[in-house]
Amino acid sequence: MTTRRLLELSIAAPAVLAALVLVAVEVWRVTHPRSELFVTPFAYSLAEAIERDDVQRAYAFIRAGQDPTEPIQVRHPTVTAGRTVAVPPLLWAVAANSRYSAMMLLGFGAQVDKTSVDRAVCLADTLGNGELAALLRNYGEAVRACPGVTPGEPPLLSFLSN
Amino acid sequence: MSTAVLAVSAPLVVLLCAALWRAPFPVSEAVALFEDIARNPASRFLIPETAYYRPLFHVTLSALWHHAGSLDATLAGVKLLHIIPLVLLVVLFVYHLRPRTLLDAAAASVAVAVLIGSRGFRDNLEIPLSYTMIGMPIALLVWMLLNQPPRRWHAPAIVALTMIAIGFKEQGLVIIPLVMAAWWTRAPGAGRNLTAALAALALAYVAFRLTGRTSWPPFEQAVGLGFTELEPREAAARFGAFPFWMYAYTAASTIANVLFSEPTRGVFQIVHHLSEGHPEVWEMIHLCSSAAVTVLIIWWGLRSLKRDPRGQWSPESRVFVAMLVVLLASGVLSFNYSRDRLGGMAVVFYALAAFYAIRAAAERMLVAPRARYVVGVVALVLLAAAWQTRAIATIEIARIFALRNQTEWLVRLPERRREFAERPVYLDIMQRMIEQGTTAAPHLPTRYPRWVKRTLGLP
Repeated sequence: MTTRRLLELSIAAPAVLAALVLVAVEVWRVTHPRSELFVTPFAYSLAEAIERDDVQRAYAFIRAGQDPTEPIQVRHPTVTAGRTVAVPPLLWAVAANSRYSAMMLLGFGAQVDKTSVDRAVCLADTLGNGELAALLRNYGEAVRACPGVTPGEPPLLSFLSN
Repeated sequence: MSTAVLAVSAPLVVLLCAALWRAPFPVSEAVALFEDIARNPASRFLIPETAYYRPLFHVTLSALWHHAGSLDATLAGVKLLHIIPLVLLVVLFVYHLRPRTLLDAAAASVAVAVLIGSRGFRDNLEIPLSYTMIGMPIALLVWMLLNQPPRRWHAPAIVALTMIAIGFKEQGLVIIPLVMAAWWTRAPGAGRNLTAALAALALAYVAFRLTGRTSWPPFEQAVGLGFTELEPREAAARFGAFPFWMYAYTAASTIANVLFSEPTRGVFQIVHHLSEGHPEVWEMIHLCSSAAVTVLIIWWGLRSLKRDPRGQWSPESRVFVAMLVVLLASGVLSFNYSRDRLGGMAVVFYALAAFYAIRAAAERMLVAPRARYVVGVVALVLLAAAWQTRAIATIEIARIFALRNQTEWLVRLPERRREFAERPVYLDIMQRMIEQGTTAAPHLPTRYPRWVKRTLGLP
């Protein structure tokens, strides 16, 4: 190979390589659309999607017909002390500190009532998540007093029993 | 060889277009823009009473909005307004370079990556804000006409193209100094009458804009200074009495952004990270690849100027002068605030110059001693590879924009409904656009390994 040809091919090589990589990745995207290279891990339930604050996946459940006000079964080693409990999705979003999911539920859960929002505000305050509480406050009543938390019990469970 | 270069560039361009086509429109920019279009007759946008004057852009959107027949057709039309100029730009770019040898083709493939990987290009990919993306192929087309033997229709076509570019965004004004540079360097298609007509057009336009609005705040948007950014009010308080040094800094920032990828928005972010001792890999790639191409362009440009016999201009030295003039004009037009996108028109000529500079450097290697040849080849390969990573990152960033837009539709509706409760037209348009915002299936950003993301500069 002449020095000229070597030079020409060397300069062109990155462009050719980039084109091949792009084509290969896109072929992989078409043939393996669920590959971890392209999508977030699958969520088996609305609760799981909310917990991960994967708003696209959470919305897919709502779009598929799941009622955003209907309580969902959740279980978490600390937030629910390992117990399985039924909680409204918005409350779960607050407990999991999933801001995007909370806002999505407010936007697409047309029936989210103000009392539920108020409960979510109190939970956010109790968990020390002032930013989320301030956001939610815009959509509820003016909360006057939040119920107390049972000592030793995870805040979410206290709010559920109140 | 043009076909080979287009074939190698095709994956970049096709994927970029696909990303734009499948992207949802953003809530933040698009709805208010469409509200404006829906509430006002097209003639309203011809009145130059606002800080941002883009009459042709608004009139085109208005025509699509009122006559496309359906919302889907309107939105598709608006996307095509972005995608068609993008494709046209790359095709015209390669056609203009017309590579004939393998060395030409190799240099052209790097130049395409310089075009697509530049910040000035990348920052103009946000739908529906297509105005500079429309101006970029127009500037190139004008340059191509100026460098061809004159025909009767060329001058009217150049004037019309210039007016279209200006009508979409004021950055189109850079075409006028471009024509002047072509005339000065004796480009075959740049006649004195054409140059005089465009100079008169520029003066008339500036007078028209200045008389159309009574008050001009010293700073319209946030401006960068050193390592920080100042909000307009703060900038006005500090520099309002004599803003001209700040204007010069801002204009220089836009120019430096094209040449060195730094600063961005007038803020020296990469230098800041360097001074703190933790620059990102992608930042070094941007800074070094831009600086290297800029150094090569200066070397090639000065060499071209020296080689020309007195009073004569070669096509290469003409490109060098055109790049300098467009760069300067882009800087001047961005005097009020600096953004990457404001360098968009100059990026076209920077990439053109990069082609000639890289080809000249490669030819120089061929006659160099063996050791210098090896070092030179390695350096050029690294440079080409760096720009390819930047071009690939442009696709991923377009996808990130698309995902961000969709997320906005999912999470910002409650806030928007409250904020715009008194604007029924806004709420109606937003409601009608929810479907495209939430159900569009954008090409999701590729979840590359972390080291790849750090190299490409992806979050």
